[in-house]
Formats: sequence, structure tokens, C-alpha cells
Amino acid sequence: MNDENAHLTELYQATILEHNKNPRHYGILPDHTEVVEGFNPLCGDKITFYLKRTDGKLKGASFECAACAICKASASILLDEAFNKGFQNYKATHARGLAFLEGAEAGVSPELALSALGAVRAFPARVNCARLAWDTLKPN
Amino acid sequence: MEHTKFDPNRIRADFPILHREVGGRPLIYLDNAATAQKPKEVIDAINQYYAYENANIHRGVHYLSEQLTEDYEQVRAHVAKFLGSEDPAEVVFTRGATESINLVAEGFAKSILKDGDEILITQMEHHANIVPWQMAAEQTGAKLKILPVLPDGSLDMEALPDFLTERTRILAFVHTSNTLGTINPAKEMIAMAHAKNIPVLLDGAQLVPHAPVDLIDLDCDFFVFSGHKLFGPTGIGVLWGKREWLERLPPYQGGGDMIEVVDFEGTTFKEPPGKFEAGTPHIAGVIGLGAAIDYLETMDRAGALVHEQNLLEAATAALEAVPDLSIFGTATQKASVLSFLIEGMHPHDIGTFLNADGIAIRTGHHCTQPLLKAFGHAATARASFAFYNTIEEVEHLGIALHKMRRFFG
Repeated sequence: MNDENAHLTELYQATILEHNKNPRHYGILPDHTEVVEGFNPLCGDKITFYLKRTDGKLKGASFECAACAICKASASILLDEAFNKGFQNYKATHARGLAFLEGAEAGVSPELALSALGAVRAFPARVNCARLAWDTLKPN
Repeated sequence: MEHTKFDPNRIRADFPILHREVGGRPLIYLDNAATAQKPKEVIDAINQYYAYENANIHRGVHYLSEQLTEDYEQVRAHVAKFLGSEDPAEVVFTRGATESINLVAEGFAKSILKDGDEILITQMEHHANIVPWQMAAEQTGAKLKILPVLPDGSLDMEALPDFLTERTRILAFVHTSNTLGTINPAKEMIAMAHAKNIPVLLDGAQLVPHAPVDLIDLDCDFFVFSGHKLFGPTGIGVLWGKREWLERLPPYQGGGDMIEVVDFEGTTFKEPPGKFEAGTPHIAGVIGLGAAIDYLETMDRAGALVHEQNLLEAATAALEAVPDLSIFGTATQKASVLSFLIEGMHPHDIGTFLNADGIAIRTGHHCTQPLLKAFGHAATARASFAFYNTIEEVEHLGIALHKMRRFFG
């Protein structure tokens, strides 16, 4: 990338572009028990999570969206993290990501895909794009 | 392209903001359908008013108040003339096109609409010409009817006669679509409605910045527009209404300045337009709007329109050369508004990318969610041009879009 695109490459880091192209856990979960929808009325972005709960516990999830690269990648990253932890303590996963997006938490391990979303904090108009997944898939 | 002597570079000198940079790049402002930039004549008039002319109007006997009342009322007369009408009393100042429509819709809900009546709007309306009528329908039991849009973004004119029924109490529609750019055959539609004694409200928010208006010729009953889209200030707009209609509608808001006599037993109201202008109005807005119209009248507007159509033609060609790009709205009659989609790219990402090149476009639903939904889109990118835009700016837009395609691979 050349210098003139420096702040764009900051926002659209390789991780984001990759998650946008190949979103994880994308599509309709065949045996879902619950559907949660989120909508950003400012821009029309729409996201749908398909959840599978057993005995009240989250066991699986997928999503579909009509949304920008930032929104799509952030949903993919959120679900990926939740899957990596086997949906154990989703509340903490959710809270940490949100704190990071809101700037309350300065940084996360650069190894985490989540860190790629850090640049969005410098683009106020786009923070809501990244937040939509978090605002939609709240822990119970 | 049609030749015109109109020189946008001379015009640009009048607009201070067009000389600023954004992120180290010269600003290329292509969001004119959202709001237009202001010439220094407008900015100076507002400064002058606050610095040397400020007073309240319509009720002072001192010099400043009398002088300002005269200036304020002169703008009203000027607006009437600007719209091709003669009677200043037919011009009501509001906060914008949105409030103008709310005023009419609320008046219809209070005094005209009954259960089972019909309100006819179109599928391409801005939320401002949907929601007030929905609210009026809910209050009265009236039904909201929607004239469909054809795949090219023009109205289904063949269907219109069937939508104009004996229960239709008003036809309210947009002259020029802020999303599609479509220019509707307003005169023809108004005549068709009038043939069935149906009054018409015409939303002219996207018409006035582009072309001169002749309301006597159009013959609509209500006409609305916003000052800020006409190179004037925000917070000021106009409702123009035929006198008999303004007399028939009830007052909008109550308060000072709209009354003749207030008594606890009852109040009598001013004649139009006074009865619709409660409280101290947005005087600075009116002065600024007057300055904007003055400014436009010094311009070669016919030349400006030719130039804008040339911009539209050049931009359409530039965009069509971008792979996987499709233009949303391809009606034959269009204003210089260009909505587009790129396969596999969300409009927000397009907007953010162009912003890095100093190019300001609008992305999203443009307050026309039902229209986009009907076409299966959640959002579009939209470039909208004013007479101060240049062919070079259009070329920059094309180059930036090609660059973006490479970036996102």
C-alpha cells in the first residue's frame, strides 16, 4: 500500500478485509432456536444472529448481514471469539470487546482479531458500524 | 454535451468553504442534495443582521424593529416572486420542508380527513413526505395509498388514474427525487388530480436548487422547500399555499404573533400567513434566505442548469466505466443526483474511501427507506452536484472509484 492510503489501511486492516471477504459463522444456523435482529437506522445496516440455546445456555451462533465491511468483520470477529471460548462466559467476551470499541480499554492483545477493530475509534462516524454486532448480540 | 458559457470557477470564488482542505486534500463537495454550501453573500447578510440590525419584528415602534419588519416582509414578497407567484400572503415561513409538510398534514388531519378517506403519496417519497401523512392517517382513520415506482426509477404514470379515487383527499409527491434524481411530470400529475378535484402538495426541496419554479404554471395547491438546500441557512423553509387553502386550514402552533385578540374566553387568529407563524420567527434565517435568492438571481440560472446536466452526463459516463457499478435511477428526466451501488462493496465503505480523497458523498438510505426496500437495497452511495461543481471534480470521483476497486481487490 502506498502512503496516501495510510489511514485507510489503518481502518481497513488486512484482518478486517479478510473477515469481510470470508466472514466466519456466516449464514443461517440450521438448528437455531432463536433469531436476534439489529438495525442501524442511521445507515440502514441490518444484522441477524441465529442462536442455538440448550437449557438456556448459548451453544452455537451464526449471522447474516446487509452491512459494510466494518460491521460484517466485527460480527465475524465477535462470533469467532465466542466460538474460540466455546461460548464460555460470553458476557466477559462481549464486555471486553465493547470496552475496547468504546475506548474504555486502551488495547487488547495484538494477536486477537479484535485488535484490528481498534482503528475504528478514530473514525467517529464508523464506530456504530463496529458496535452493531455488540449492541445486537447482548449477553442475557 | 451542450455548450454553456457558465463558468463554475467564477462561481466557486463566492463560496468560502469550497477553498478549504479535508485531510490535506482539496474538498470535493458532492453532497449537495443533503445540503448546499453558502455563498459569502448569505454569510455576510446573517452577520450584518446580528451585528447591526437585530431587533424583534411585527411589534416594535422603534427604528430597528420597524426596519427589520420591513426587511423580513420584503423577503416574503421576494420568495413569492421567486416561486412565480404574486401574493406574499401565500408564503409561510417554517423551519424547513419537513415542517411545511407537517403543517399541511396536521391541518388536513384536524379539518379535512375522515375515516376511509385516502391520502396518495408515491413510493419514492422522502420520509418527510411519508411520516406526517402516516400520522395524519392514524389520527383520522384515513388510508395511505402508494403510487409505485417503475424499475427505471420513474413513477408508474399509467397506474395514477386508478389511484386518484373519489376518496382521495390529497396527492402529495416529490418533484425531484433526492435518491433517484428522477424529475417527475409534476404539471401533468397535478392536472390529473385537479380533474378529480384533488388538491396537490408538491415537495420542491430538490427542485429549487436546480431550476426556476413557476407555481402559477404548475398550479399545485401547496409547495414546500428548505432554505439550506437553496444555498441559504438551515432552520428556515417555506410553505407556499394557495390563499383559499391557507384560509381553510386551521392554525398550526399557538402563541404570540399569530393572534389578533387573546382572551381567556377565546382567541381570534391572524389571516394567513400570520396564523401559521407563532412566536418570534427565525429572523436570521429569513434574512439569509433572502440573500440566497438575491444571489441566485444574479446568476445565469439557465446556464447553471446546462452545466449541471453536463456534470450529470459526465458523472454517469465516469461511473459506468467502473467495474461492477450500477446506477440506481435511470429515468430519462433526471436532476444532477446520482445514486450508485458497487457489487460486493457496501456504500459506507465507498463513502469512507472517497472521504480519504477529500470527496464528500452521501451513503445510506437517504431518508427513503421504503423506496430502497422495494428495490432490495439497504443503502446506496450518492453523489449530488451543484452548479459550483466542476468536470475536474467528476474526473476525480471516477479516478478515486477505480483506485478503491483496486484497494478492496
